Amino acid sequence: MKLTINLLPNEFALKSKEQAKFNLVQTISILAVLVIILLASGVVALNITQNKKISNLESSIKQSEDDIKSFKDKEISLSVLKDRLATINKLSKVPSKQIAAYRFITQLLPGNLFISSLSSDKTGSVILSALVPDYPTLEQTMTVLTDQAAFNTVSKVDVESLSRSKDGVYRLNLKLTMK
Amino acid sequence: MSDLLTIYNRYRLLIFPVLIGISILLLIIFVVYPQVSGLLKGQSDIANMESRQVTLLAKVKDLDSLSAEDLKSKMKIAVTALPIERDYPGTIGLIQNEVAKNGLELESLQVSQVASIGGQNGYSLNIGIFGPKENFNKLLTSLGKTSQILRVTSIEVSPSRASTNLAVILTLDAFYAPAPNNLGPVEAPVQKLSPDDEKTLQDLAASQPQNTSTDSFSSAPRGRPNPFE
Repeated sequence: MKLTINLLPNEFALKSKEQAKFNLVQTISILAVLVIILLASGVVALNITQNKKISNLESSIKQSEDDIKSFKDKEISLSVLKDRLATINKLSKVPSKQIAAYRFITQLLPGNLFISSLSSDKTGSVILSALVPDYPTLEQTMTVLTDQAAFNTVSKVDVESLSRSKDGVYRLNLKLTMK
Repeated sequence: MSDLLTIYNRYRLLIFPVLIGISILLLIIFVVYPQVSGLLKGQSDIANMESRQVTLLAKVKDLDSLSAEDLKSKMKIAVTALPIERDYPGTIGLIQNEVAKNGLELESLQVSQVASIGGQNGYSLNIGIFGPKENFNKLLTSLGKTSQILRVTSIEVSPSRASTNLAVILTLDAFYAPAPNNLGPVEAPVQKLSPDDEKTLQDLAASQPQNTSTDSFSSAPRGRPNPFE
């Protein structure tokens, strides 16, 4: 059996314990500094790589923009064409009310009725003056104009005047408001 | 100096970690934080730039695939149908041609300047024509298929009792549209022609004379075929 006796003063033991504690703090602190330095270096390296990538992308975008500029004529033509076609489509899709009104009236009225004047204004209203040779034709005219089928195209029929001359001819003035 | 060393040796357990902590804090504040925030901002910039690059590359590809000749011919058709400026000679020539083609006589023609027709630039023409009723019906049909967009806005018919001829005063609206001033941002996508646009172009091409030589005054509307040349 071996017996050890510490004959050093108590003060020395405390000093040694304190030194060990300081060594531990020193090691931990240095490690912490190293970790932060490593982290900072890593982030700086990543930033440098990223900046290089951004610079490459910028030059690539610049190249694409230059390419687009070289196609400027094509782009302008296409834009003008597209714009123009939209306007053409808009204008073409609106049928002429006046042509429709003229066709409707000339097809609907009896053949022996003589149209002395017909005018269709910008609103699409039609003013019609006609000479009707006899009463059956007048009746037929009024029938076709007041028929339900006619009201698919016409919204209102106004008889402005109706007169009969000595020779039996009726003079009829009508105003038709088209739909 | 020896006093400082004595103080340091006495409080080194406290002073050393505090100094290290301050160094770490300074490193974080002046190096790590700016770099990390720069990195994060850079990531978002890269995402935006990549998306922009994809758009631009697609635009370059689309523009490259367009045939300049095809575009030019389509442009010519569209500009004939809707000139870029008031084209009085072309419109008058076209009307003269349509009236004559349908066997009618053009008795009068008057152009009135109108700045805007239903929000569209245009002008009106009053034309007096004379001829058979059937031919007038044909004219009304052909006016809907002219190479230049024309719209009949009023009709005044005075038939003759002695014959089947009609004296007609027609008001026609003719339109034009100036070229747009700007194209928008460079990354704006290429406006592709829709099937409807292609159909419209086909219809317009069918209504236009195949050979529009410069000396055929009466058959082709005037005006610059391509406003950018």
